[in-house]
Amino acid sequence: MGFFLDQVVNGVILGSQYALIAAGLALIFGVAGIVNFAHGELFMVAAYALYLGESALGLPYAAAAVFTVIVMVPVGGLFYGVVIRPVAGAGWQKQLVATLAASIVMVNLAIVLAGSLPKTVSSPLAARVAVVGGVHFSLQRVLILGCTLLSFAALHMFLMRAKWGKGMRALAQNRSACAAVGIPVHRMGLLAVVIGSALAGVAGALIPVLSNITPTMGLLLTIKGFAAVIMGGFGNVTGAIVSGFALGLVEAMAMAYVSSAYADAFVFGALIVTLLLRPQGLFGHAVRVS
Amino acid sequence: MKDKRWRMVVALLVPVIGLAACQSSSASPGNGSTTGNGSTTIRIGLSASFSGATAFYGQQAKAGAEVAVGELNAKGGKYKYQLVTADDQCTPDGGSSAFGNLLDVQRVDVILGSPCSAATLGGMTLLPAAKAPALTVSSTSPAITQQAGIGGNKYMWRMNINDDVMATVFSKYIAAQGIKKIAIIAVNSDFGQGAVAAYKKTFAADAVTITTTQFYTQGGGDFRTQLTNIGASGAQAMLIIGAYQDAAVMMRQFKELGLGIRVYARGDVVSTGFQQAAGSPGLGNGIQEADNWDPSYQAYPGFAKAYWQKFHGDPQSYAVQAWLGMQVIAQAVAAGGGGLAGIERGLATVSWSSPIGPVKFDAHHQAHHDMFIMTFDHGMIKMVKRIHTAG
Amino acid sequence: MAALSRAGATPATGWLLAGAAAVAVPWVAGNPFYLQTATVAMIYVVLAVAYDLVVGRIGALSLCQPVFFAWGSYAAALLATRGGNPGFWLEAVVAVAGAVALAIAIGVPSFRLSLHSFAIGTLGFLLIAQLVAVNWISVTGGPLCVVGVPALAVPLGGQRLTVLSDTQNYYTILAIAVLTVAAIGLLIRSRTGAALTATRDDPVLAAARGIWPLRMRLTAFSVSAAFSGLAGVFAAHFQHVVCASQVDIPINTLLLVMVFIGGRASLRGVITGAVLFTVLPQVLRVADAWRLVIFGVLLLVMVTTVPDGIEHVYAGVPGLVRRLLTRMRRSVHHGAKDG
Repeated sequence: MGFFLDQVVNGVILGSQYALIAAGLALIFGVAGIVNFAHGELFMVAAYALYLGESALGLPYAAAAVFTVIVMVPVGGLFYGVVIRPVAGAGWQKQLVATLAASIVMVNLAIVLAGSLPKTVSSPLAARVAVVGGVHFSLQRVLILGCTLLSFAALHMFLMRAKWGKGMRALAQNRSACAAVGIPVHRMGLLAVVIGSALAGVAGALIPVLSNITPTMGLLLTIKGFAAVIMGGFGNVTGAIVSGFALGLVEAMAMAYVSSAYADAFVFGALIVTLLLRPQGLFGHAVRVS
Repeated sequence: MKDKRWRMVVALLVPVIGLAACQSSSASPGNGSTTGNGSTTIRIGLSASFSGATAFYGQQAKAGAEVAVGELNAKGGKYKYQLVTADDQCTPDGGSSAFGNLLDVQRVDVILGSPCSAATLGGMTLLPAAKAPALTVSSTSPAITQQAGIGGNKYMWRMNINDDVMATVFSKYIAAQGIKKIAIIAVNSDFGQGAVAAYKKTFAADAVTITTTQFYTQGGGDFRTQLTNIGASGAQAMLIIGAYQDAAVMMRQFKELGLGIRVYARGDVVSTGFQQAAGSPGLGNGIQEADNWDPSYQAYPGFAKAYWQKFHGDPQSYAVQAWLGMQVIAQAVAAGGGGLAGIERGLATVSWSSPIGPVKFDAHHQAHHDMFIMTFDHGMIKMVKRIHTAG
Repeated sequence: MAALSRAGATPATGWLLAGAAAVAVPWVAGNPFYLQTATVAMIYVVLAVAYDLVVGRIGALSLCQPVFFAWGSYAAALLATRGGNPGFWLEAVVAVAGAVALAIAIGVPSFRLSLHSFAIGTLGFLLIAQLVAVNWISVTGGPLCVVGVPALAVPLGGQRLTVLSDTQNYYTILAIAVLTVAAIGLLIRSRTGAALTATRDDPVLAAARGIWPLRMRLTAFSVSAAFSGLAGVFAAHFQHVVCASQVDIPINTLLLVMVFIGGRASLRGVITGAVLFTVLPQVLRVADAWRLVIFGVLLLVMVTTVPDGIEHVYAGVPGLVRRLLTRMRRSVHHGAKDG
């Protein structure tokens, strides 16, 4: 039982990473209609921002983390302006390839500028370990889970209550109608990318403490984030978050009980099976595609 | 309107291609002739990965080789050394392309490389037609030795002892410390898979049970699940087969999970690189590792100092091995003369007492230098044992 | 004069010139490395033209093309090293049949999805295939690769011809490339090709006219997979080693670059893109670390500014030639007048 609980904890921790990325992906797709292949790279940029905050600016961890999230706001804006806005009206193929190209540039620019050797960041909570019910975990993980849930709560309130949030939900439902009633479509798209970037910033400020920072750290995360988004129903933020946690659990369980090598195959297999049985995702609405 | 955008694209491309063309034309062919008589410049072609996620292999190897070139040229004498490089992207087609570029375009006298086994395997097929020798100093795949030397590719040479040799020795060492049950955690690459295959055989021969074998993807970042599996498997010890970047993260999570079993390693875990990546000193205390190089730099303090002066960092395994490889080539040149044929002849007769032990190539063009067992003791790298593997 | 300008401006002239240049490469290439690069370029011509069938003609952004290529390579390598080396024809049959089977297996569930889900679904298949290639050590050798693949053996009329030299290899892949381009070119001009375009541009209307989208898409997908598998057979023998790195995202990214910058649904554009982006990395060797950054920036700039890619240049050639010749004619006239 102890072993099983250990793996559940592992799964939830993995899942919180996927959920943070998936939430941003889902928001950007729902509001701007764009599949952002470079979203994992935003997470990577945030991680390097944390590193710079600690090393170059000499900030203590808490300040560096806040600095990271704040820095990701203009980064998101820049990303929108350079990559998303120019292909806003173009076909979906071009949009996909544009974000893919952005991903290639960001990863390789990081390799050239920062080097492919990993960097480490530290936090006072990382070394403090709690033991609950026989399961050992660092307090940093508690912080990650707490901040993740807080961020989602804040996002939920924004989407439900705030004027701009409601506008974004309207856009996700019907773009042309929104344009017709005067909702500023492009500004909403910018806001969605900035929020997605900030969420990636939260992830980047907290998670790299437990591992390390490399230029390619975002690649696999993007793909698993997409898996979560698709399973949750494209554009459905709640669905993406739940699916993110679910995929984390699937991966941990597969690694524990089947094989560590093929664990990722289970994650993608789960995605494909979901698409076969329910093409609109677990939470999406059925859409007729010829 | 469209034409204006086209002009922008062309304006972007022209300077890039112009720059590239200028650079490649300045790389003049070396005068290392194939007849090997009295040529003064020896061109060494380093094939390694200089782009993408594996870029640091090439960067390290180039740095180590550059120190060697500086030292060799400072000594003076009949031969002057020149280093050129080609990116092989760590893939077989990349290796084939890089070896081809080095041989046919940059006209080198010998190839040093590749640190990546896949690239070496892809590139070595070009050697017989060009009658050009290549020396790898970091590739770990056993297939290379199997295909080289007698009955195979006469032009491929390997300096670094591979895992088949090291596993035999290290396995006995571990068993002698009273370990009966061990778990393995290995990187899922040619290096990791090759080592696991070797250790499976030797542990069985030494009556050590492998309780579980866990694999991870390089740069994975989260090893909790694998470590939890290992903790639950009842192993007395854990063998890490991987590089120090992942090992540092792994050890942090190992401590977090409260695992207290003994840790062995096979890679470059006990190294200054690990200390930098670890963050906290003493994270690796107690780890014992089998190495084909000396991470404490006691065997070559002059090189470590020269490297630090030039690059302001500690040399890791790829740099050390490249430096050693350059000297093996210099030995071959001294014995057989310059040029492709001279170096190929010379490599066959090299018998060098190197800082890491005797370097002499057997029938399969494999050298058998010494093996090092290293450990972290109170945050310092210490040598536990130095073992002869030759004869 | 007018007839000459008309002849110079037709597409047929362009193809003839390209064909002549392709045949002349072994004489013009200064050293083995250039010839080998040209051979690799031809492999990518096959792959890119096959990929364009999916991306340009079906309009589906598939991200699993390396799966078919790698299948062909592994099948050929395993047959040649462990299966008694039966020769090119059997290897080709196994590669093509397997690739088509894979295409149908991936296509049937994937084409039901929306366009974005299709892209990510195929990516999922690619990653699963990669995991299998890396971990099924007993068959694929995993990271240790399948090594020692001998030269291509082609049984012809009782004899076994071995494709040994660089020149022989080049002409073999050139033949395969010509076959691919011809076959796909004919397919596009046929009724099936028109049906494909209809399916791409308006699937609902096409279905109303009795063209079932799924059947059309599967056909094109299978044809694309078949030729990719064939290229894989050649690549295995040319490289003598097959590694799991062949089932990886960067190869698909390179194909995307070739197709998008060459110009989707344009044969000549895609072929040019394939050759250009095999040769360009060799030229850019000076800036190894920056190479991929430059690729990415090029792709981003191209996608956001020039929609048709290189095809745009080709489309403008006849007009250019005409204007040039008209100007020449006018200057001749003026010269005669001034006397």
